[in-house]
Amino acid sequence: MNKTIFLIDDDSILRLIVEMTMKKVDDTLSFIQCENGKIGLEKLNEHFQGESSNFIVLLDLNMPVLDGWGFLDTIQADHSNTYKNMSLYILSSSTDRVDIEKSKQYSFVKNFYHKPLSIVEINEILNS
Amino acid sequence: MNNLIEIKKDLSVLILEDNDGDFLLIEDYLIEEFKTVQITRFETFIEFKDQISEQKVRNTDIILLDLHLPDYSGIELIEKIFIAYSGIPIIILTGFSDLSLAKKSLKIGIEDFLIKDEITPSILHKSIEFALSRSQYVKHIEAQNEKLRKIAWTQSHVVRAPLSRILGIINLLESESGINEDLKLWLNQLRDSSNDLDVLVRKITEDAQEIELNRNYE
Repeated sequence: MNKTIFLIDDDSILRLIVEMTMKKVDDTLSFIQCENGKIGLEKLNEHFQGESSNFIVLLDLNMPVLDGWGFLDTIQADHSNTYKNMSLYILSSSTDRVDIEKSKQYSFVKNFYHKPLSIVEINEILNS
Repeated sequence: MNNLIEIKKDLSVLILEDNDGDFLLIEDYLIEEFKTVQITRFETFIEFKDQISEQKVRNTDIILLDLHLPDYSGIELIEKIFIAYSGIPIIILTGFSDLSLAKKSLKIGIEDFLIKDEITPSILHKSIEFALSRSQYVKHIEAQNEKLRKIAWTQSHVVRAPLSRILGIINLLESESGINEDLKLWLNQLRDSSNDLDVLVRKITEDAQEIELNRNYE
């Protein structure tokens, strides 16, 4: 499979937890850690310029510099072209309904998960 | 509650009224009813907007507003004042012909309306006192709501973060092979307690959201 997963989250422990847990499900996964939306965008563009392999983004919402919403706004215009091979999921500790509703306004957000990811949810993400 | 309805001794009233006769009458009534009252008059909205100082706005306790000024009138006038000077209670002075407009303005936040032909010193006095106490009370409630909203936001965005880390770590530990029975037992206990806490945090978030949702209907 060899999928690449972008973890965009300012909580380094959480990123580690997600990576370790997902690797238990599939140890061929490779991870790119990004500590905020801005770094996420930079690494995304760095790695996937013109390349067409599928990749997964797990995006946190509350982050410094560029938060999850800012990240979504930035890629929104381009999601069907530049990021057409992207599967984007929100992974937030927030259980705020307002956030969940707001995320539905972005057609390319595949799902909204509450931290932490369960094994079932990880399989959902990897198999979709 | 007492401090909320305590009326300032030194009342500062702003009157927007272009009719001299109406103004003089209101002025008389105010002087009659309130021992020390400062009255400032403007005849148009533009004059009011251009000439009033920030200091004056801060010190103004109440605005008495004629609904028909030469430059602006009706709901548009009210909204202009709201936008520029929110927080100052407004009482509308109006005629019979504008009754429905006056009633409508109550819905957008006007404290009271007085029919010009029916105003007496005591009616004016009572209306001002009620308006002042109610507006102080509303400000108090709004400040509390603001605090509640902040707590609600913290609940749903901050408090659950460390908890989700704990739950994630438990997931990881549980999937380790070769852990002994004792450890398994305590891990289970840790999971149960963390789940209990998660249920509580989610419940509080949900309850707090009702405040947020209600705000949209205000």
